[in-house]
Order: sequence, then structure tokens, then C-alpha cells
Amino acid sequence: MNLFVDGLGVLFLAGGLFFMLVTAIGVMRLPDVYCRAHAVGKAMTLGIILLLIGFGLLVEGAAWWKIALAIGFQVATIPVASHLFCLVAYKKKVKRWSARGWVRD
Amino acid sequence: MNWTEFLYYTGWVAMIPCLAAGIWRIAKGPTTLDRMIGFDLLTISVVALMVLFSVHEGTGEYLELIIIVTALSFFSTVAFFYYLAQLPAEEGELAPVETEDKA
Repeated sequence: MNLFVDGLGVLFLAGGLFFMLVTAIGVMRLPDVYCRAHAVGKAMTLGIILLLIGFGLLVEGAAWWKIALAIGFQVATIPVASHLFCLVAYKKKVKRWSARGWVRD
Repeated sequence: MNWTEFLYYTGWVAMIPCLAAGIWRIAKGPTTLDRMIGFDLLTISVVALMVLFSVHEGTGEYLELIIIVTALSFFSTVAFFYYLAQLPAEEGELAPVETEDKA
């Protein structure tokens, strides 16, 4: 049973690290402010949630309500920051990338 | 070397590209918003490194620190947005860079 819980925690940690790498590749490679904000807002939230769940499964002394509070903080802050990036970029008329080329809304 | 030890070093190998991507985006980004995205990536990568270090040490002592660092990074980002929203529309580095037209 303990081995099962540890293996599950290791799997969650590996998934979280994979999604953090996806975020790094997205921020480096995507062409646009909007696309980069999308990469940060989605992949990074999922990665940090998986990391915190794996942390709660692997460490005995961690209280579950504190981990739930940390996950709630991440879920409350990262997508809000991502939406604020897109809102300010849209209000300042930053050009966006599309399949036809660079467009200014 | 058990699984947790192996995962700690694998985590460092996975997190160093995140930090490098954030610093590279801060240095290169064409607009101010790109630099702020790099800053956001850096702060959340630091939070992920705190989680990895807590797993390696086997303690739950740093959970409050994780929450506080998340709140601080979010507040600094919001303060920067509040500053940027007061600038005139076509001023500063937020004006689109012309060299990106051919991309």
C-alpha cells in the first residue's frame, strides 16, 4: 500500500515536471504575446497542480488542507495573470499572429 | 539511489530549462508584456523548485512559504499591469516592433 502511494506520487511529480517543460518550450517557441500567455496560463497551472499533489502523496508531514490552500492559490492567481496579459495586450493593440500573417485588431 | 532521489535530480534537469526560458524571454522579448511573461515563468518555476526541495527533504515546513511567494508574485504582476494600463496607447515599448512583420 505504501509502495503504491509512493509510486503514484512519483508519477504525479513526473507529470508535473513534464508540463513545466511544455511551458518552457511554449514560452520560448510561440510567436506572440497572446500565445505565450496561453502557454503560461494552461500548462503551468496543470504542472504546478500535479507537482503539489505528488508532494502531498510523497511527504508524510504535509497537512492536506495546506496543500489544498496552495493549489487554490495557484488556480486563483496564474489564470488571472494570463487573462490580464491578454487584456492589456488587446487594449494596447499589440499585433497578433495568425495564419495569414501579423494582424492588428 | 531510490526513486525520490532520482526524481529530485531529474526535476532539476527539467526545471533549469524553465528558468533559462524565463531569463531568455526577459532578455529578448519584443514588448514589455513578453518580459512580464518571462518574470511570471521565473517566479512559478521558483515555486516548483521549492516543492521539489520539500519532497527531497521530506518536510512540509515550506508550504506557507509557497503560498506567500505565489501571492507576492501575483501582486507584483498586478501592480505592473496597473502601471501599464495608465500609459498612453502608442507609447513606450508596447508599440509593435516593425522587424516582426516578415516573420
